[in-house]
Amino acid sequence: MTRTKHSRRVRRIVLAAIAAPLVIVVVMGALFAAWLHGTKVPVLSGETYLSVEKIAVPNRLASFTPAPNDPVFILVIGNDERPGLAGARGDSLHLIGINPQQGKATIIGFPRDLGVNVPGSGNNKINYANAVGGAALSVRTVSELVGVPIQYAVETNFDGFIGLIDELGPIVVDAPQRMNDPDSGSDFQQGLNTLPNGERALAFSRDRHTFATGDIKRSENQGLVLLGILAKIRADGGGPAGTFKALGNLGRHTHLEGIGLRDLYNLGRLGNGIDPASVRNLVVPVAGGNANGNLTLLPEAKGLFDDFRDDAVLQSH
Amino acid sequence: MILAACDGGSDKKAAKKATPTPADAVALTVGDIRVESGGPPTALPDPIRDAVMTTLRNYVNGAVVTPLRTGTAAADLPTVFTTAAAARVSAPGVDHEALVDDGLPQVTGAITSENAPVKLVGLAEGDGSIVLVSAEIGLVVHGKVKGGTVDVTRRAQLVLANDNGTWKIDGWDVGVQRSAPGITPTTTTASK
Repeated sequence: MTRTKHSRRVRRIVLAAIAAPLVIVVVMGALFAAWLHGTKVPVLSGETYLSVEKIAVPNRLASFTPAPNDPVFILVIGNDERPGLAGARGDSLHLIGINPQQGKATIIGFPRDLGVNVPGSGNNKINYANAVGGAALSVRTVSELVGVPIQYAVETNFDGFIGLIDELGPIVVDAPQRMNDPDSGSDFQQGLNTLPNGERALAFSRDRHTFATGDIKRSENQGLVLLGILAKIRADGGGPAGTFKALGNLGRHTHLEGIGLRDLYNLGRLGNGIDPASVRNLVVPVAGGNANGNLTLLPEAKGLFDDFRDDAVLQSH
Repeated sequence: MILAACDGGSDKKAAKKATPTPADAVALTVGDIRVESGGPPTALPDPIRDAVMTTLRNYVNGAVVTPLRTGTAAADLPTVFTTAAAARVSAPGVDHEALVDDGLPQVTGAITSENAPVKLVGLAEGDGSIVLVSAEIGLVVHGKVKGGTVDVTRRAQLVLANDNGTWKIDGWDVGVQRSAPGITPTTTTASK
């Protein structure tokens, strides 16, 4: 199913809760974009703000649909789209692997300054792929880097994140340390914090100055927000009818490419079977980590990808 | 669903056969209906409503009434499920235990029930086409067996999908409680 594409300008998100992993991908996508954007745009309803695509995997069927028990791989993209800026860099990139049989999932974050091969463009920062080739190139870049077939891509921006959390309601995160950063508005005690709305969740997600490892730690913290959202959705329950309600809301504010609400429902049911406590959240091992420098993959990243590739579950990392 | 009467006249053997009687009225009625739409508001078409209810009644007959009468599920029970769902229900395991009432003492008297009206929720794509229907059922069934009664209480949201023109059960969230003379009461839940 395809909708008419809207102009990729600043979008407003009013997003209801979506059964994980879709909520996961939406939130993660918006987190980095929001951080880069730096300004809050009021949320409006009735507009398209999110894009969900089923990806044609090279060397496989044009419309790849995993078997019910096969691992599912989804790339979450948050872009920094804004007026006056050509292209939309993929400043938030998270690869989610779900193993339906084991009821486990893994989230791997890729810092935006990570140097990788961008197909057709050579070595560049990983966020460059989205600016020149959109979600398709971001998917291809990460797919080749990790060695997994990514079946779905979800892309959004700053506004999407704000609207999502506002719709979903308060989530709880476990701050790794005291966080205080005037630039992002972060002000959180170490330990459990309730993020009451999108603005506070954004502040938590944007903070990099509190941490010596800057962007790397921020990526990891965004994974904590994802897990908080997953826990919130599972706690809200509602069964299939509740999921239908959330999907109806999602469908009215989403551009769907090669995928329909029934597919989203099935993906959501996968997520419902995942215990947040069983989800591994990590950032690829990189060298560097200051606020302005480029990053490179450490040799141990290869072992991580090897461990992840076969079943989306980390056994030895 | 009202089942065919058995010939309970002079043939005692025939009367003892596990043939459903007219008193096995485990009726399902339609309750609230709504549609969650990914586009403009839309309604659940009557043909879909009727097709879904037919499948649900066939499920109740095949998975509840027939097993209570005969000890085993109806032979055509798999036809109310999609292929993938049928495979899960047919195999031993929690799905079968939650959805099928076999293995209980056979009911010799009438099977009675108190059932909540079925709540139907449709999921519509942006073009208004209905792609899934959730049916919320609350089924409480009783039957007289040797030494007492068998009682089955089932709460479920069954998800039905259009399978080549027939609406079939493709998923579920179900919980069932059973009790019968000589059997420890059980509670089973399953989700797909």
